[in-house]
Amino acid sequence: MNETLQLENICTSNLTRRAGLDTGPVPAEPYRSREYFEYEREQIFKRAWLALGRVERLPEPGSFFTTTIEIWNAPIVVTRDRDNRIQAFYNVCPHRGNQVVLSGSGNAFRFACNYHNWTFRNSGELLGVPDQGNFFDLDKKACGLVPISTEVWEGWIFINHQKTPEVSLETFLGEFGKRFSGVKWVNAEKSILLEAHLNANWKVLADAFSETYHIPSIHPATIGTTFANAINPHSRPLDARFWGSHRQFSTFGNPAYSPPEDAKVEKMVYAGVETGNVLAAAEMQAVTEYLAHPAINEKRSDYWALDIAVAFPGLHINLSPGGFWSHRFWPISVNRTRWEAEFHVAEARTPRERLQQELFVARLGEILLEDVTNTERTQIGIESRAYDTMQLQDGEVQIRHNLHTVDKWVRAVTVKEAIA
Amino acid sequence: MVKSQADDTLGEVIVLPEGFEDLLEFVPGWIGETAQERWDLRAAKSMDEIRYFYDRILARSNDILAYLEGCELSELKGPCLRLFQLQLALAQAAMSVELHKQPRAINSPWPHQVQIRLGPAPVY
Repeated sequence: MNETLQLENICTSNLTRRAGLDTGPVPAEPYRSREYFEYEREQIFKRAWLALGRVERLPEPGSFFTTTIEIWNAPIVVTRDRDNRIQAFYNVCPHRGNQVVLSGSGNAFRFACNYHNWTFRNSGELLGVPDQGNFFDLDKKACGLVPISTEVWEGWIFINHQKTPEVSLETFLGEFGKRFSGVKWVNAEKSILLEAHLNANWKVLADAFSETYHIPSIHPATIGTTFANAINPHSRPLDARFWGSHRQFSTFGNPAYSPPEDAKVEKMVYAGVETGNVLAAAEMQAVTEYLAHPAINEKRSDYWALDIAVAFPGLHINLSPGGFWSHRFWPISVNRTRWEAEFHVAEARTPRERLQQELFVARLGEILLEDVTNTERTQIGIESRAYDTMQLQDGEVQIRHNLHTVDKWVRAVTVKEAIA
Repeated sequence: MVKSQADDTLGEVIVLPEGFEDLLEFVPGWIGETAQERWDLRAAKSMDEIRYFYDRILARSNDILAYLEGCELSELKGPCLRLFQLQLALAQAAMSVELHKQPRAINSPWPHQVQIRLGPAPVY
């Protein structure tokens, strides 16, 4: 059997046509047009459910974190109250508009605005107003923290700008949500968080994590040999599937990968550890359970590297043999984006394990640096207007699907129409 | 607190635990308090400095890990913590020596925007 035939048995071809998408060049304008960005703000980011991260960020009643949703121009605080209800609020004091909660995270059942000491419950109600008698008919009930529509799916916290969302989170996620329900989110309690503010459109960032065609080229030293081999030198994907706005992309892995001879530190760090067996028995069982989920490596392929599950617009969940991680893309302006990558590993029990994790993070830093700094160069090229289009191959089908979905949302009068 | 973790004895500062005096030349130049600091430290060094550190720490790694075995990881302090921070910096040196064959990733800017906001636990 020649290598082309063998590849056809491993990787599903014609992904773009199967998805019902065109195969022509795609427009560059959505990546650089300020006008288009304003449509995206109103039609997508103020109507779609947006993923903030995992519920484990709020481990117990009283836990809270703050963040800024730049595209809403809104500082927010997310809390877990005494009844374990998770709720996002505008982090804005009804008195004069200052931010009520100033720390990034913590545990508190009451918040006091540091401007004039108005106090609030972590479930939003206004509790106390100093010198209240000097106000004029103050309606305290109408002066709580303003709630933001919040729902949780499988431990992922989502928010929606619409006061009464047109569709529930369940409807929004549809088949995608059903498909990935019941995943065992291993090691979700512990996070490793990377962040960058980059001079690139949010879609340029999302695109950078949407195909593996770039891997042999951009990552020759870090991961080039883990995602390609002689059968599949250009890292064609195993499969791609689409459900309305959302999708899944299965990437190819080289099963024969082993650390190069001169990777002495990698070998020393993993000395005496069989590959895939760096986990304790309890974690091993959790990982086995996680990998048994029917949507993860659905083909049960020996050439599987990882699945990318994309909840449009801004959440990429990466499901790999050792566990999961996520990317989140937060648009700031047409050519500026905040990007977060969150990984999950168990707390180290021995110095060697802690060193393994340090090596893992060091390598992640290098790979992600290669990925995201490439995006700023891409943005410059797009904005030069040298070209009005981009050429996409079949393995870049996620990018095409994303552009198609973005445009559908921008034009759709209702959310129901956008998700259809 | 065990004796080897005491920061000073009779007013004399112990930088690294006894038996690791040969690594004193790397303090404080290779001591970073977080994974991000260790990344920054390595990225600012020359390939000669990185390779020299890499060779010396790799040769002592089994001794270092054996010495720290049994310590409560979340309570490392003073000389033991510094010793472990040197050990952890080897992960960074390995990126230059084993992957890039140069101090920093190919075609990447320096300084850059990518920040490790939260490293592995215990954080140090």
